[in-house]
Amino acid sequence: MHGSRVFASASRLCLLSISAGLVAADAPAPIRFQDVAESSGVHFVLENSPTPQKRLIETMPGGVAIFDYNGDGLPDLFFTNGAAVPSLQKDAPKYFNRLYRNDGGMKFTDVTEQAHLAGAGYSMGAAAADYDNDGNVDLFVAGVNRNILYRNLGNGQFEDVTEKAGIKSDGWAVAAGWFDYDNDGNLDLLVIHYARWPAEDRYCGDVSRNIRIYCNPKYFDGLPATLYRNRGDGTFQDVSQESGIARYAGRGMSIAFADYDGDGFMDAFVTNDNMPNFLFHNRGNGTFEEVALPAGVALPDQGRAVASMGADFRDYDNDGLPDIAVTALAGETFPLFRNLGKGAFTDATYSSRLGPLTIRHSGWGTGLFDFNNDGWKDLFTANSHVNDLVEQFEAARYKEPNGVYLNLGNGTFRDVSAAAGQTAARAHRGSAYADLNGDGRIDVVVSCLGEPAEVWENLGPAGNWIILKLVGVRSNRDGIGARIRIGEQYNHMTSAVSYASSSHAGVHFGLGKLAQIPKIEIRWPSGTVQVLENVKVNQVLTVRESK
Amino acid sequence: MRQGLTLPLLFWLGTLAGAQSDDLALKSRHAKELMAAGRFWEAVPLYEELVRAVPGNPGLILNLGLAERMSGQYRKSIPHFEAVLKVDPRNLPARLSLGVAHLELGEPALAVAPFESVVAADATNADARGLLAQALLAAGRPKDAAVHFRKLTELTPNDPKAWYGLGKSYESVSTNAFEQLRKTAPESCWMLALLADSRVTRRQYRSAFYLYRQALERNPAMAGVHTSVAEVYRKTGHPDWAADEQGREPAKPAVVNPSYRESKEYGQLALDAFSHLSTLPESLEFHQLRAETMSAQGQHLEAAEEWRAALAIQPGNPNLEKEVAVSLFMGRDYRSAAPLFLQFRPMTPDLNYMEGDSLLHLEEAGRAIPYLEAAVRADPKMMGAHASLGLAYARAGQPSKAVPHLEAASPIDADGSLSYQLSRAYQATGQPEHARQALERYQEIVKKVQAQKDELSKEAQITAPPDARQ
Repeated sequence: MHGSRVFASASRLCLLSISAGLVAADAPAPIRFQDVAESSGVHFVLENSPTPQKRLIETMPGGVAIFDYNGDGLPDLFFTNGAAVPSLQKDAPKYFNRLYRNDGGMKFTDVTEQAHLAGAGYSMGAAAADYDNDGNVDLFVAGVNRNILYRNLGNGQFEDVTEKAGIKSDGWAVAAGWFDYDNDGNLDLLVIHYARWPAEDRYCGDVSRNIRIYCNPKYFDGLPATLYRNRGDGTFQDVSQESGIARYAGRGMSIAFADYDGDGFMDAFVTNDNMPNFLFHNRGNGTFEEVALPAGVALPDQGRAVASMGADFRDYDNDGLPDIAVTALAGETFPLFRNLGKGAFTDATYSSRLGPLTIRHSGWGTGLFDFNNDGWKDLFTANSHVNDLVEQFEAARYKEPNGVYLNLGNGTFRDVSAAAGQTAARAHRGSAYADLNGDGRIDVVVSCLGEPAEVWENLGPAGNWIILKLVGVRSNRDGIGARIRIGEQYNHMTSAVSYASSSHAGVHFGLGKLAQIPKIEIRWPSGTVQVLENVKVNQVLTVRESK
Repeated sequence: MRQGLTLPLLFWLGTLAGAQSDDLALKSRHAKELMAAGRFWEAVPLYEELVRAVPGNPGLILNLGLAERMSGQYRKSIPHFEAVLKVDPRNLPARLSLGVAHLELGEPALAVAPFESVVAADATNADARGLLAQALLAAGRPKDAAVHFRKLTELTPNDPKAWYGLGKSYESVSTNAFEQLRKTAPESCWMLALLADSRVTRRQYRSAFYLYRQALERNPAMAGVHTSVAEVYRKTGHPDWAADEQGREPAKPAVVNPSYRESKEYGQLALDAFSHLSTLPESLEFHQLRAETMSAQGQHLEAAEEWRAALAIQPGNPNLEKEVAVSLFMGRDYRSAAPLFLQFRPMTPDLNYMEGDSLLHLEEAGRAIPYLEAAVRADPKMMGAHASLGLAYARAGQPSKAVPHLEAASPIDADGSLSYQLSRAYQATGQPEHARQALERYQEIVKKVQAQKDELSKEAQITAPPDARQ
């Protein structure tokens, strides 16, 4: 750590040179993806068991998690899967959750059964992180009245430790996320619920035309999230009540974390379906206050709740303040809340041009990642409507291609979806992000209801890059919550991103033409500020927290 | 939408015998040619000249009036028809045209007498009877209108206009009776049963069920309601309960409130007329009826399809084109609606509002602003336009311009969204205290709306008949 005045002036120079490196880049490089699922060996089909009764759970799976389960440096893929309905039993292999080992070169092998990850019940979301700080990434699977916590044994196998750890299954959980809310070095777990299940068997649709559709969310009473504090001994304590989280019932869909007010404590943003979102401000004393409304992220600017689905909580405009990107349904736009500082956000959906670009689309998974490594985070959205019969009622489409929105670096985005290869209309749901083949470009994995999952290899021309893999010492082992600055760019370590999904593969930075990184500043959750100087580009750099 | 105002070209075909000059004869011939060619607007100055040249000639005055009427100058044409009738009270074309002019000007009560006199003179004149019936209906005399529409269905049994008008007249009588009941016995079983009937029409079966049950609680002997409940059961997939409920219908009809009876009876008559209309060959009126029904049920996109079908029968009809655009707008298909509004001239405040609001929904705030500004300029009391303009300004980064419009629209803030927008606009203009107050208002409204929803949710269950085996 350096704190001298000399360093400060050197730092200013470094910033200038980095900015120059990035600014010197030409027009943004095009983003181009290719679906390599077929050739990669990933043949996962999300079996959601659609029924004529249109039970809402059927349209809500399924999460994707990317994490390195065997510590070989290659991010592996995990897909949650459905079950038979209404039994909610995985009574056939087609319902198994699936783990695909990354063999390198964009080749994957199904290792579900060896890893003991086939699962149970109707699974929804996944959250990966090393909760026991043993260096092996563990996995939480959220489901319909059936949550499972898997401990990674470090030998390619997982153990179901749900009961032993004190994790409950108290409702229909859609998503979950790991964060260290009390900065004690142990990752805590926030589980997001949608509603109680089974719900009333209500007929929604048009009886006269015999068209039954999924019911409007308003018919489902929301549930509060559950916050589990990690005791550090492999067990968890439900602190939902004392933390204040239990006071807020929502129809939770996804979760994203960031320290939006820079007070050193991770805050939680939770999307709610057709009701105001939650922003749980971490008071730093073990309690949270829900501030979404005054902060300006509960609702889009028109003041009406939308079907908020997936979310990411990152700084898209390189001002050092994490912003929030949300997906929603056609006619609602994909809201973008820009962080103004001092705890306030503004709805930047229109000014960013995302409004007109997304007004006709419906989205689930989403992620703010720099796909062309030009120094500006772009937006990916896994698109589809919630209602498979929507075309009979509205001017909207059910199956849609994914969306790719290029960050132009001036606060606006451009729709480059088709040029980026996103032309396949499917019922997309969860999405996860990582550099799967070590080329420094962020690839994307997307689940699809009833159809094969997509593995989008990023093939576009891209600038330089770096991926930081953090190893916390005083902080949690994953470094979740660590805030990293390279020049004018900021990112933070989190695995909670998208819809019901998890991306645990380091912190990626696109660097444009920058040939060497003068300075990387890491603010660990422990409070330690670590600075790296003159770092080589185009590498995966493991950084151990300094003492 | 008014139908049937197209009349045969009834202008005076006499020559200018004894004309003062060849020039006038030439002008007269030219005017007649223009009228025959449908170029009425151009014929008007020629007839004006002729009337000035040959004052007091009823034929020329009539032709002037006709040219004016047919070129849409209704108000101007009226004194000319009245002048003709002063000297020739039996002049049927003048009477008919006078009625049409009043009808077009939205003065149906004034149209009734001229039409009545034409019908009295020629009882077989279907056009005149049709116009009379329309005028009576528009003047709020649906029972009288029904008499003439009924006669019309006898005169021209395959005329869809007659059956449509008849159904509408009966429907109007039924609605009037309903309104009468609302005024005199708003809490009665009769009112509840009629409300339930209207919910059934909109396929809101849960709500209908609740209201029928409430009606039966107030008056267990009420006739017809068990049958209606049975119908709800059948439509919601409970045929066994339906049979049980049907068996509870009282054998002897009890005393019935006269307004309730009238509303029900005329409602049934309307249904019969509309049913007959649907047996006739495809017609504009058939699609119009379907479109109106679908709109009432909230199926606006389906309504737009019906209006399009009507438009295919009568291409270029501006009223039908407007209905298509409005239905698309109501159906939230703003992308299709927005370009359609622009084809109408003049752009009325309503059209400007719908165009602007469509663009706003399409995330084109910048383009929406001029239309919304025009709407509020022309009609400062149009709160919907103020609301949309406020949001458009806010999105366009002009929160200080948004504030007064959002404030103006606040009386229509039914769900709190305007208070929320206002709070954001105050915040953006550095008025934190106002912002806080607006946010409090938002929360109050949301709480109130939720309480109403909770109350309504009591209506949400369709349950078995009391004590029925399940």
